[in-house]
Amino acid sequence: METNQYMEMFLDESREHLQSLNDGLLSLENDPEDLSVLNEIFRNAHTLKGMSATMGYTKTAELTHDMENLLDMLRKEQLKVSEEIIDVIFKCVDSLQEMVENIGSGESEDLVDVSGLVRQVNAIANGKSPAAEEAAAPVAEAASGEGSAPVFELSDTERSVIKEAKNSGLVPYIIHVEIAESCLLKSARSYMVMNALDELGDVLKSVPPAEDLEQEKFDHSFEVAIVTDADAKTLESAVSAISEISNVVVTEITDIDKAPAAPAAVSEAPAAKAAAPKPADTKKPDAKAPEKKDAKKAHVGGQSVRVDIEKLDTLMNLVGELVTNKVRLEQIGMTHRLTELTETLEQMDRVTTDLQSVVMKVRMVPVSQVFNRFPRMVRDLAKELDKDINLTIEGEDTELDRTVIDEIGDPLMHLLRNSLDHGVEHPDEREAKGKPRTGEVGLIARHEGNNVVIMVTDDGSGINADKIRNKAVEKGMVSREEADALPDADAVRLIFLPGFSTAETITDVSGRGVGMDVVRSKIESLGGHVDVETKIDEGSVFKIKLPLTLAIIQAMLVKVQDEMYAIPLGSIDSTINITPDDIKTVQNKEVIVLRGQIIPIARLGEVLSVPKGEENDDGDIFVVVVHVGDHKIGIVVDNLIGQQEIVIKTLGKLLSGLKMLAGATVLGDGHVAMILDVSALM
Amino acid sequence: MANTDEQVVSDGDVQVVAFKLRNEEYGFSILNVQEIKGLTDITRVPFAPEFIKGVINLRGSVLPVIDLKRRLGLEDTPYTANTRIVIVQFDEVSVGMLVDAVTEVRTIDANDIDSTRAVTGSDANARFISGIGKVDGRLIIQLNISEIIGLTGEE
Repeated sequence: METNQYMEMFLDESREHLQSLNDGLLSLENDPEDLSVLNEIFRNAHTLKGMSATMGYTKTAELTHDMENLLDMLRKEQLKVSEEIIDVIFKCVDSLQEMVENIGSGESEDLVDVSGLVRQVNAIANGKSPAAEEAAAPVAEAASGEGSAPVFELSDTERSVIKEAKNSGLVPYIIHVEIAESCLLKSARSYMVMNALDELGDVLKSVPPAEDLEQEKFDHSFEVAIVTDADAKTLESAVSAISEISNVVVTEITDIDKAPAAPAAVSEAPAAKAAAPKPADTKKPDAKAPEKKDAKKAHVGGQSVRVDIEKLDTLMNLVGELVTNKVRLEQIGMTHRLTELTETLEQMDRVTTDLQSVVMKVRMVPVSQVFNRFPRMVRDLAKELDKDINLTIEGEDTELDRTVIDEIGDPLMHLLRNSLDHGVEHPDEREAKGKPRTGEVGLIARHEGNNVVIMVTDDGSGINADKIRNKAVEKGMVSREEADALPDADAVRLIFLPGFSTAETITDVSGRGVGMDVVRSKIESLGGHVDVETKIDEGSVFKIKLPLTLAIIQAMLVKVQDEMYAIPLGSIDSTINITPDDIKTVQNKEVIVLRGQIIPIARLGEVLSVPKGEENDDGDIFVVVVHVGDHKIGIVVDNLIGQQEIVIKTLGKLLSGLKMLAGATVLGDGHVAMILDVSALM
Repeated sequence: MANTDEQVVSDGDVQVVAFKLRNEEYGFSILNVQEIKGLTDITRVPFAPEFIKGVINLRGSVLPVIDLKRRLGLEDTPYTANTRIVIVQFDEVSVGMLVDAVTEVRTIDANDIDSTRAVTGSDANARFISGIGKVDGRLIIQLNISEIIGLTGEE
C-alpha cells in the first residue's frame, strides 16, 4: 500500500489519540469507577491499534493490542482498576508515544524496547487476579453458545410491525453476523451488511444499534432483525458475499412473543452479566447510559479540516497581495477621478478586511493544545518529588496564533517544573506552616487587551528576595550596594538574568543551570514579556504576556530621509514633538527629559546609516519613545506617518540574523519597509 | 553547487538565460531562473552585506536582490530602461539578481563550454564562474549560483 500520503495523518491522529489516552487515564485515576472514561480509553486504544496495523507498524499495533486486552478486562470489570495497572498503562502510552515519534522522524519503531512492558501487561491480564479467569469463562460461553438461539429483544411496536408483515406475506428473520477477527474496518463492513440487507427488505432493528455499529462500538458480531420477502438462503448469500464476514446465521422468527424471552437477551453486555448476575432488565439501562453520553460527547468536537500551516501562510500572502492591489486601484481611481471605481472599491475594501480577519482566525488555535500535556507531567513530577499537587487549568480555550503555540510549550513546562520543585513545599512542611497538605498549582490563560496572558501560579513558599540578592552578589552579577538598593520586587526579577539558578540542591527536575533566563529570552523572542510576583509563604505568580499573533501587528510607520520603517506599537510608550534645544547631553550622550525622567535618545538615521539627504533642521524633531522591560529610549525620526496594521514577513535565509531588524513588511503601496527590533537599540 | 556544475558539463545541450553586465555577457542555467522582472523599487536593508542591493516585493513576498556587478567586482553603471531583475531559485531560496539587460535564452552545445581555469586562473572571483560558453563568436560566462548567493558560508 502507498502509505506515505497517509503518514502525516497517521502521525497527527496517533498523537491525538495518545493525548486522549493520557487525559483519560488521568481522569480514570481520579475516579476509577467511571465506566464511560474506561470506554473512551478503550476506544482510543482500539483506534490506535487499527491505524498502526493498517500502516504496517506491527510492534506499535502489538503493544496497543496487549494494552487493549487489559483495558477490555477493566472495562468488563474482570479486573479492578488499581494504581499499579494505571501505572503500567501509562508506561505503555509513553512507549507508544516514543514509537510514534520515532516513526515520525523516519526511524524504526523497533528502537523502543517494549518486551518487558508487554510481559508486565500480560502478567496482569493472565491471572494476576483469579477473578479474571473466572469471569472470562462465561464470556466465552456466551459468545460460542449463541449461534442458533436468536438473542433479541423486540419492543411492542416492532412486534406489531412483524405481525403485520407476516400477515402481508413477508417473513421476519434475525440474522447473526460475525466479522473476521482480523478486520480493521469493522464499521465499514457492518455498513455494507446493512446496505445489502436494506436492499432485500426492511431492517427493523440491529443489536448493537446502528450508530454504535458506525462507531465500531461492537466486538465482532452483531444481529439484525429484518422483514423481507426473500428466503433465508438469499439473505445468507447476500451477507456472506461481503468480504471479511466470517459467519452468518439466518433464523426465522417463528414465535414473536417468545423471542424476547430468549435467555441470552443481554448478549449486548455479556460482561455486565458475568460481573454481576443481576436480572437482565435492570442491568441493561445502566450499561447503556454512559454509552449514549459518550456518543454525544464525540460529536461536540465539531467538524474540522487539517490544513498545512504553509498553505495558510500562502493564503495570507495572497490576501496581503490583494490588499496591496486594491490600494493601487484606489490610487488610480483618485488620480482619474473615477467615482464609480472608488465606490466599488469601498465595497471591496470591506470584503478584503473580512477576508483578512478570517484568515487570521484560521491560524488561531486554543492553548489547550499545549496545556493538555501538563496534567500528566505534573502528576508524574509530583510523584517523583513526593508532593501532593493539585493542578488547576483555566481558560484553555483562549486562542493564540499557531506559531506562538508551537514555541510556548517549553517555557511553560519550565515554569511549571519550577513551581513544583521550588515553589510548593513538601506536605509535612506545608502542614507545619498551617497550609493544606495538597499544594495548588494553577495554569491560567486569558485575554488582556490585544494580548494573551498566561499565568503559572502556586501557593508555595514564595521567593525570598534576600536569598536572590545574596546569590546575585555571590555570582558577581550585581554589586552588594546595587543589590541592597533594589526593592524586593526588582530583586526577585534578578532570577531572569542569565546564569542564575537558585536551587540549593540541584535536582533532576530543575536547577540545571539553564533557568529563567532561557524562559525570558524565549518569551521575548515571541514578542512577549515575562514577570514574577511573589509573597513569602503565600506563593508566586509568573505572568507571561504574549501578542495574539506574530503574523500581523500594529505598528507605527516612521520616515527617515526617504526610507520608511515600522516600529511595533507594543513597544511604543509615546510619541513626542521636541525642539533641538530640548536635547541635552550627559557624558556626551544625547538625552531628553520626559515628565521628569531622563531618557537617552538615538538618531535612527545615524544608527541605520541612512544615506544623507538634505537636512531639515527647521525646528521640530519627532521622538518615538519605546521601552523594553523597564528601559526606555527615544528614537529620533524625521516624520511620523501613522499607525497601521502590518503583515510581518521574514527576510529569508540570505538576510537572517541582521541586527535591529525584526523582519520586513509590504506596505499598501507595494513598497517594502523594514520592521525595527527595538530591543537591539538598548 | 554540484547541481549547476553537472548541468553545465553534461553531454547534452545547456539552455541558459543570457544577460549583460556592462559589456560582457553572462548566463544562468534556465533551470534556476524563475522569472524576469522589470526594475521596481528596491528597499535598502541596513546592515546587509554590501553586495545585497536591498529587498523587493514579489507578489507579497519579500525577496533579497543581489547587485551582480558589485558581487563580481565590476564597476557600477546607472539604471537604464533595460535594467532587469532576474529571479533565480536555488535550494528553495529565491533571490533577485540585478542585471543591465536580458539578451536571450540560448542553447549552448556542451562541447562549446570551456572550463574556467584557462581563463580566470587563480582570480578570487573564479569561484563565481562555472564555465564559458561560445556561441556564434560571442562568449557567455556561466555563473555558479550557489557561490553567488553565498549560502555556502564564505565570510
